Amino acid sequence: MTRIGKIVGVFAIILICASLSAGDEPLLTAKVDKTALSPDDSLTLTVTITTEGTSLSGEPEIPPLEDFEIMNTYQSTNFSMLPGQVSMVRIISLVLKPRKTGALTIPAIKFKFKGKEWSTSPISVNVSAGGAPAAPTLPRTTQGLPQKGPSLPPSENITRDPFIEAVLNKTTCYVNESIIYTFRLYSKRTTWADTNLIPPSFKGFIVEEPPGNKSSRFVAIGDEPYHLEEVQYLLIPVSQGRFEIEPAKFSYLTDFFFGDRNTIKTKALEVSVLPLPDEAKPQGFSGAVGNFSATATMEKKPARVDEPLGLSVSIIGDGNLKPVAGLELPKIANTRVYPSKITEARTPELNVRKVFEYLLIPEKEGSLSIEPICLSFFDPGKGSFSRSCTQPIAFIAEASGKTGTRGGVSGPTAPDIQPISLKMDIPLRHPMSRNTFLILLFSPWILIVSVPAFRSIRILIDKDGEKAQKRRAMTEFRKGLKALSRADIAPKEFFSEAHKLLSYYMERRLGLKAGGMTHEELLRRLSELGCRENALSLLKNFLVRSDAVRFSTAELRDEDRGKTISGLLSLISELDRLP
Amino acid sequence: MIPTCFLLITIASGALEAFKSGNDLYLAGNYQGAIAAYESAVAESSQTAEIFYNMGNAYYKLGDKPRAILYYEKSLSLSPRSMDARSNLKRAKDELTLTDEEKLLVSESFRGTPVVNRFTLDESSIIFFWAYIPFTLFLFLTVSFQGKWRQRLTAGSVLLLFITLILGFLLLMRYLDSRNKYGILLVQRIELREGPENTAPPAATSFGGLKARLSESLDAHGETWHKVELPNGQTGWVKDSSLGII
Repeated sequence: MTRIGKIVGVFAIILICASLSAGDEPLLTAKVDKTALSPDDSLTLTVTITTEGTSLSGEPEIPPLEDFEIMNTYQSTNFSMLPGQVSMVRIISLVLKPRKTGALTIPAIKFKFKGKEWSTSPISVNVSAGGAPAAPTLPRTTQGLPQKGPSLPPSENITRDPFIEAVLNKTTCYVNESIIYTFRLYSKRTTWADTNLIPPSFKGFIVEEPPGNKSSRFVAIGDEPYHLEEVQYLLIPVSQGRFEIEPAKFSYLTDFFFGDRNTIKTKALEVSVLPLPDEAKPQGFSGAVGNFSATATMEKKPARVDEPLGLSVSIIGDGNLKPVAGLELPKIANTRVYPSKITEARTPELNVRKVFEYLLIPEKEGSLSIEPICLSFFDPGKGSFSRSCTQPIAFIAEASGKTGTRGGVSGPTAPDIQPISLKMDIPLRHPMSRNTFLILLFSPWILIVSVPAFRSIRILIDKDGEKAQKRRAMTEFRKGLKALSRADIAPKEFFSEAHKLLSYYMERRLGLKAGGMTHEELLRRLSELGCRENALSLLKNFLVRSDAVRFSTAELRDEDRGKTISGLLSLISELDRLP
Repeated sequence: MIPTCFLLITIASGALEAFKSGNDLYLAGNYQGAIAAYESAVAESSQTAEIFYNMGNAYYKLGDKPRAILYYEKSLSLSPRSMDARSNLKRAKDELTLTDEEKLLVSESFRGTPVVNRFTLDESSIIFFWAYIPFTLFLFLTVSFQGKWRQRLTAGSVLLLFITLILGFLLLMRYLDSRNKYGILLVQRIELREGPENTAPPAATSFGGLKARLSESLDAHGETWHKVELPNGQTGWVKDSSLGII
């Protein structure tokens, strides 16, 4: 980001934040740069009005300055923003030249704001021919200065502007005890540009930023008014030991437009954290560390059977109540007790208030009492465990106010309706859509219809299986015959294998067991199946030749082997046409 | 699927917070506040039987019996077997200031098919689904087996078919019933109009807490009107503000 961009950004943030805050009491100051001067010299009277927030309206009333001639006038309005704090500063500077010598007085300057009037003290100026220099007059501020402020910072800081410090309210504490870390920024002016506070990391502590932990006011250090910005953190040590809190850093631009970035830091702080003593630890110790008091209040309404009644137990004090998850309520006879709500809050004084709310539902009429409700805690001030209890509470439960009235006639006491449901089952799915429902409604019928379909498909598959078997028989026969034509085997074996192939084919393709039939029977069956004459003739020739070769010593020439194979192929082609 | 679950859980947590807050307010006796909290739970897209039931209780405590009846009915439409809701519904109906004839009308109005109305449409569908699964299985086995086993399986299939047909019929009844929209008349005494406008002549007189069947809805003259049928068969038009739809 460019420098101009930064400046614009800072102004934008300032204006946005400024618009959110409301004005407070203003600080009116008037000072002069010199109180002794020569008649030819001039002095500067600076009137500064500072308000918290942005609602600065009106002008200061500068009375007629009869002893001075106004040479020049400058006016400016600035915003200052520390984290969470916005101030508006109006500065009017008058360059004055004395009209005469002697002790001159600048009268009081008045300023009206929100119906109230503030004024400065008159300022005396000595004008002499010598013009002896004098120490600058301390600003005289009569309004807006606080009556009380923090302990003054070390004197070496006073010479610097701004300066910061960090302090702890305790440097020795117990585990779980809350201590307060305060960061303070002192400055003579309220206008600092692009400020940034970097707090320490607070290792070893649980850090809380209570509401309203940022404040600002004016304090007097010596005779100088300082604008004090304060930020407080509540630290809760979680373990014993010695811890160092590193320095907090504050950076700012020395000038709005052309200033350099300056960073200053506080000193590191040390804290010794002691363990809680084990001895005398009470039974049911809650873990609370501090000093607390317990009070219990009942809801102000008549207690009635079966009607809820609120009970609040408040624990108030200085310390840490975080470990207290609940209170041990004594048994209340004839009463149902429901824990209702727990709230915890810090007051602006950093006291803690934890309220445990219960709902009591009396079950029977009559006197009921709540025994003291106690909280055990460790009091670091005393260095011992302590206990705070509420006062016992007694109340009378009346009969239920509900009567069964119908048509204006009082009837006997009716039992209450069924109680509300305290648990809820969140449906993890949406209700079934209409389409899903219809699919579900009709899907069984689809399945039922699919059963005969399934059966038909199966039959179809079976039929396909027959066809496939026939096709397989043809393929295997052809493959076998091809292998046979290439094999260098004796004629007997050739015909024997060819015969086997043919028998296998006929069994698979036509369901004829050729091995168990005479030639005549086989030819007759084939004829019955519709086999044509030429095929029957081919088959007959093959069978005769096969027998001749297998059962005689006749030789087989190669051309005869070829003829046999081609004859068999023709035969198979014919047989394959059969159904 | 995962984003849907995430969304449901996110919605659920918001609704749960509102529900708990409503319960706290109810137990503290702040029934109006409890209703507002429950309504915000409903607005979180989480309509559960428990929220409607508790709303019914809150309206009951405020003495608004017709609205109590409406929310008990809403609760029962999501959880029909809730004994608490049934008990409180009966109680709210009994406490309506009515004549004997009117009471009879209230107690018998559109109660739905017995047995079937004890289940939501989703539940009915699931029951039916699990009933036809064994039937289908038996049927497949019957086709696959031969001989003695086939005879036995056929007998089993016939028995299961019978059960499936009964359940299918009940499911269909439930489905047809679910297609009807019902509402509760919220105004103590109300005149049903012959047409969807205030100036239309009165068609019938009725009373708050009565369940009516919606047959038609339309926007007329800047208002929503519903045509309803009363349990005694009378019909007429009522304004949306006088009727709570279940």
